[in-house]
Amino acid sequence: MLSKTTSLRSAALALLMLPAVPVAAHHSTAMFDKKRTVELTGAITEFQWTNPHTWIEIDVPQANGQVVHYSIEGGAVRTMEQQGWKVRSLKPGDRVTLVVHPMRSGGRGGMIVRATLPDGRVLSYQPR
Amino acid sequence: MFSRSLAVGLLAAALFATATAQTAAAQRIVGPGSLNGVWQIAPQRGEVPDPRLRIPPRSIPPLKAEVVAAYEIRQRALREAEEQGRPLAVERVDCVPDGFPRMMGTTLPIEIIESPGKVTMIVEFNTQVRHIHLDAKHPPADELEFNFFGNSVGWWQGDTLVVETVGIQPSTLLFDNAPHGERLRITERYRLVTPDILELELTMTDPDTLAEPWTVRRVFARQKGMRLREFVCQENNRNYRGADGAIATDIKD
Repeated sequence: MLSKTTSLRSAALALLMLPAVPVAAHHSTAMFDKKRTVELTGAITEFQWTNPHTWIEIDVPQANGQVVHYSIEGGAVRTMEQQGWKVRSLKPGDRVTLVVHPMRSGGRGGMIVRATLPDGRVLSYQPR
Repeated sequence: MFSRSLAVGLLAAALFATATAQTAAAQRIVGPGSLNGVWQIAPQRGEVPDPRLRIPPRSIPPLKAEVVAAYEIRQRALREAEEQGRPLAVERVDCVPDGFPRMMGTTLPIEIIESPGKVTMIVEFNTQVRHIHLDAKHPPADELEFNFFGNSVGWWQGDTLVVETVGIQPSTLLFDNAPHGERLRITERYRLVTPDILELELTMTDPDTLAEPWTVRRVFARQKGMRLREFVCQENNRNYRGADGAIATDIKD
């Protein structure tokens, strides 16, 4: 009983910790399906270390031999940097596995969740 | 003997200089000079809040009855579009600056530079800059211009920097997308609660849209060693306003 009250109180406190006003980035992320993740394994064609968003361009070979290209959105340069990404974290030709939230429209795009680099390191991203 | 007196004298002078510097540094803990540095709103999402932060509760815009209906229709449209996964393209998507006061809600850093007669605030997001003139006056009403960041004057009141801003163009929005008119007046009070925690109390008054003064509080944490980055929104903006008003994205084939 006590623990229930305590957890309710924690929940109430957590609600109070919301900023006075929501602070959004350049745009909403509602176009991505955050309930689903998709894994993309392929070769980087370009890493755009730019504002207002960073972008990962990747060619993903399919089982049928075809190559499908995806454009994966990340956060602003500062937000990525604060989560461990750097300007040359991804280089053209790097073979990587990306975990992304796919676009709800079905388009060949998504929002980066994490990337496993050729050396096995993992970089993650959470929007702020 | 002579050299020993000289050495003692030099040592005394050095100690005096150090003590003076320390006193000067101590004086800068509050008041003029104390706000210099890079700040970021706290806590950032996913961070455990510093127990010293007094995080303000959420506040709701106290809109006047005559603007509430239009506001709620717009808010509902935004919310429903979010839920449907087709978020509406708002001004930010076109790289239009937030303007003041919304710029002060950024999660990216803000650099405050105090110089004689002036406080400059550089908001990294979209490189938005405020020029706050100290102990100055607003232009007379018939010369007042309306722009994104308004016309700001400030003064120190003890340990608090008070800033008063008018002349904010009504195309910009207040927090939570609340509308405002030309008579909007904003008073900010900046005060250090510790050398590294800055509190901002921001009060908006607007006889056109607000039924009463609306106060929000913000807490910023000092970011030692952080350098501001450039942020050019048009560098690579791959989002645009689709024909249906929703955000469209430039996906490569």
